[in-house]
Amino acid sequence: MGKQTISRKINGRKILLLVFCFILLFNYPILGIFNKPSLFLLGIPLLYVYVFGLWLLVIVGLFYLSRTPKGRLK
Amino acid sequence: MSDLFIIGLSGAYLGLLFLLAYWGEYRAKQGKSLVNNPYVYTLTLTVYCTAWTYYGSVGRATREGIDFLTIFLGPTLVIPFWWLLMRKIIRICRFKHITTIADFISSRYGQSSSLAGVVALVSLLGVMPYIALQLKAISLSFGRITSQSNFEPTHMMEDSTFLIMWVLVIFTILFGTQKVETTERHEGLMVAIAFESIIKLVAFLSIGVFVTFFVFDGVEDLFSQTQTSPQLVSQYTLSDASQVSEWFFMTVLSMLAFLFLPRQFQVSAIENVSLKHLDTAFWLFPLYLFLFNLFVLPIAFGGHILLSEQGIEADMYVLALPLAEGQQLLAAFVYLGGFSAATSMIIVSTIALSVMLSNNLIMPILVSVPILKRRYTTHLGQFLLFIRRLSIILILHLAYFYYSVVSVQTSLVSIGLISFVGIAQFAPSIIGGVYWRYGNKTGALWGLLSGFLIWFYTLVLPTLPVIERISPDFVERGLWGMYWLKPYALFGLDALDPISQAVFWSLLVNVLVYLGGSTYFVQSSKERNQAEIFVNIQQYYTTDISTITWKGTAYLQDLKMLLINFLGKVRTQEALQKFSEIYGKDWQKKPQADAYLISYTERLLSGTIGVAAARTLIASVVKEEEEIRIQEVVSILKESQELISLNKELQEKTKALEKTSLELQKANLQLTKNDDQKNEFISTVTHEMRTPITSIRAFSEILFDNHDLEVDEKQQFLTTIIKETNRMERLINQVLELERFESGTRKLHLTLLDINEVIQEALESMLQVFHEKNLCLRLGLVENILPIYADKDQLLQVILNLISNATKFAKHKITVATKMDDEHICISVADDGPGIKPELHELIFEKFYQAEDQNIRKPKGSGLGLAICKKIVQYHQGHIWVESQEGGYSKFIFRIPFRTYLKK
Amino acid sequence: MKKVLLVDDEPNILLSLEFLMKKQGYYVFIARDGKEALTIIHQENPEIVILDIMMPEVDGYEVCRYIKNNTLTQDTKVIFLSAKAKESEIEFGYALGADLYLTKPFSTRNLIKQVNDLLEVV
Repeated sequence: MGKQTISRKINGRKILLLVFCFILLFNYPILGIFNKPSLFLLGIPLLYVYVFGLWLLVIVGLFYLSRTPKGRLK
Repeated sequence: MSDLFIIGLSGAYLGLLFLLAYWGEYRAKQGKSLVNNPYVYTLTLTVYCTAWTYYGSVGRATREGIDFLTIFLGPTLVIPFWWLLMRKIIRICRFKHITTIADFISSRYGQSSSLAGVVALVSLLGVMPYIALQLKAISLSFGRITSQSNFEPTHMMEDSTFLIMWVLVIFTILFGTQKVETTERHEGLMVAIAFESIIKLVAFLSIGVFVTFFVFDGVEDLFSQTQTSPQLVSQYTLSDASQVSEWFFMTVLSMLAFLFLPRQFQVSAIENVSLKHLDTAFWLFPLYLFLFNLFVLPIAFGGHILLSEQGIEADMYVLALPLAEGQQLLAAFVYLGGFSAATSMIIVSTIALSVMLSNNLIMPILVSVPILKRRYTTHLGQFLLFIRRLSIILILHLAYFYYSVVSVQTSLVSIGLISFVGIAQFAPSIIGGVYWRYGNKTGALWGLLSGFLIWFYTLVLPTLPVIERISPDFVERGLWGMYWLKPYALFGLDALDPISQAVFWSLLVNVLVYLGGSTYFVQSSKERNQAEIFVNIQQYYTTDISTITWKGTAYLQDLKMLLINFLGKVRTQEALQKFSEIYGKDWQKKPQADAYLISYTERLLSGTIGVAAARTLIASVVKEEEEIRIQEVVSILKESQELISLNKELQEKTKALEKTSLELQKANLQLTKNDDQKNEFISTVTHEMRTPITSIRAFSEILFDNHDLEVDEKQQFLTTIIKETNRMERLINQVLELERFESGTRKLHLTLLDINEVIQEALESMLQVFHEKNLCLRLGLVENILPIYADKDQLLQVILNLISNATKFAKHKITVATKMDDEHICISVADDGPGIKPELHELIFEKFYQAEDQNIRKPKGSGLGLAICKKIVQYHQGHIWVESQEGGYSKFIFRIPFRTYLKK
Repeated sequence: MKKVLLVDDEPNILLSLEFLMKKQGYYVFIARDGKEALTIIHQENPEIVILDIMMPEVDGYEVCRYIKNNTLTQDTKVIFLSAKAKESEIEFGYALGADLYLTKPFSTRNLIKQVNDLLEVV
């Protein structure tokens, strides 16, 4: 099975939806859930963990989207 | 470290860049491009990470915590849209020979030279301070690493930054202005930029790892030490409402910057080799940004803990930390990383700006002044190169001037953000231009202008010293004391920080004016034409339809001269050759060129001198037949469009008709065939049934009539009757089975199975037969065969059928083997029987006798078994066939894919 | 003893025919395809041939044609015993000179009677 370009599986509307979801996740009010000064995870402030962790997840998602032979989005 | 060492190091590094760039050019000439690679492409995109990222992020993180991240989160979040937009923009740029963002906007809105000029000017104004910022970073880092913390050069020539700037001027001229045609990529430059991208990332990661794991004892230790500093503890979270809104606006701002900064436009659109590379950048670019930012907070907090009391400014923690720890070598490497970040940004930005400055500001003016034009008309190409080189020198000197005079007072971060807001003003006219067919020049021009005006008033003006003389207390009390004109709280909006409110107002007004202007005013015909191409580039890109924007004629000689002036003789020959290939050779016979050739020439020139200048030049050689041409252009366009669409429609209708008639024929044929096949099937089946019935009846009658039969005779006849009855039953079952396959009611029960096991199972049930007939069995099964997804019972049936057929014909031995390739599994059953005639190879799998040769019989006993085998294999999307030699052997082979998808 | 040749590619049918003919006291020859049949006809010159049509190699029609077109064998009686039961096929069989056309499945008594009649056994 050959590698397919992303174009086969995403169209404009879905891209916009994706970008919208990204922005939503990285902004208030969702960001506020993790914006707690006294909370730590592994000695790191929770906000930092959330932002960097989510960031990494987004990258993994993008990678997945650009590689899988049959797109999940369509 | 000594000045000389660092200057030498910087010089050596720049020398390395020269070598790399030469290598890149060399490889390109050999046809072994280094840039035609998705990873190199992605690396060049990271020119987004400048010295501002490298040094400034740490400074900002120290002062405002996690806020700095927005600059990098923005591009990450917008990258899916970037991917979508770039696919369009790259195609448009190739199609229209566009080389700058100014050309792009002006081309969309009717090749307006005023629009191109405005965009070029704003890019210049917006990006120049940004370049200055890079120079400042080089200078600051130089001062820090040579431990001259209050480094203040008294004379230009004493300032190493000035020297470095000149090396960059030479570098950029050497590798950026080799050819006049800017549509050509700068392969050498891009190789150098990609290399610098690696250096800056590795350097930053090294210092990050060093601080986190060597200076401190891991992340936990570092954060536990920050607990003592109230300033750092307050950075754990976003504090108040203004920081929250800032977060949002910064994210949006950096999204737009990533999309539309001239240097980003240069690397992502102009220098792009293949659209496929976008797919890799899609995930790799965010990953690069992620890695780059991973250690910003540890460095910032570590620096604050260790260095804040020494009065070192946070922007330089990156360098000061290894120095303070006595790691000279690491410090030098880190310095080179920052140097890379700064120089790559300077080089790419300068290239992009110099093309804009020469093509969109200087050339349009020059070609419209008759005296100048006449003077340089014979060597315009050389002249253009000269102008472009001059532009590079000019831009870098202006940046140097800005750096040494203005930027000393402002911090690294604010200059960058001010740039971003200026560039973000391009967003409405570009996005609108590409997706909204009705956006027009009036809307775009006035939208841009009003956005820029607000930007200039709210962000640029307050930083200029001159404003204090015009209006004292400008920032605190507004222009001439007018409260609602306070630059940081325009129209009384004081809930947002200065940058956010500038983004809000400028973009709001920009978008509204763009939409309003586009709706209220009428699009010119030329614009309508361009809008059509831009919005629907996918259709035009492949067809290469030249759009006619000229009515009237020009002398061939004039056009040729124009082309030769700019492209040189060889290139001109090639271009005209290509034109002949597309439009035929008729043009050579006539002294006057038609509209197609004129438009073609214009597009060629656009790639060299910009859209607007090309238009002016062409206008000077085209003899216009009438004063007002626009109306005619419209009608020509309409005609050709109508003709094209009419033609298309006709073609489509004809095609549709042909298709329908073909389908009808097919359906008819199929019906007849189906009918014939059905009749044949019935006669075949009845015929096949007659044989066992005949025996049964004959023996029954014999038994009935002859009471004096011997016991063993009786026994034999009865056995025969039973056998023949079984045969009938089997036949009936097979007919029913075939019918189920044919009507599609037969379902597959797919499971993962090991084919070797299925074969073993089949063989076990046949062992008795092998023994009786004294047959030798050979197995050639592939070990560790991949499991296949198939219906076990059915495969078993196929294998059993083939083996049982083989036992009927084999003399001594039967061979069962499996084979495997990338996608399929092959199972073969061979016997050493009499073989099958070639003309029967196909026939034996048919359930019907061939109509043309009624009396050739299928071998006895084959019945419908093979026909069913064929159906089963086909249901598994496989293929079955026989290889045989008469008097030698027969080998039945079937092949099925590992993964069988259920047919509807 | 009159000679009867039985030609069919189904062993079970041959078995039943062989039993029936032997019982009537004929001398029975057996062929499993047309080629074999022609050899036997050539060598033994049987009085009657009971002939299947669809067989590998040489089919029943060919065998009949050979018998009826050859001066040495044209007196040999031919009975087609075939699963082909369409009218056109039966007509075609008679057109080739066959003395009788019977379709499978057949009645044993009728077959015996017809053979006896053809050979005028009293």
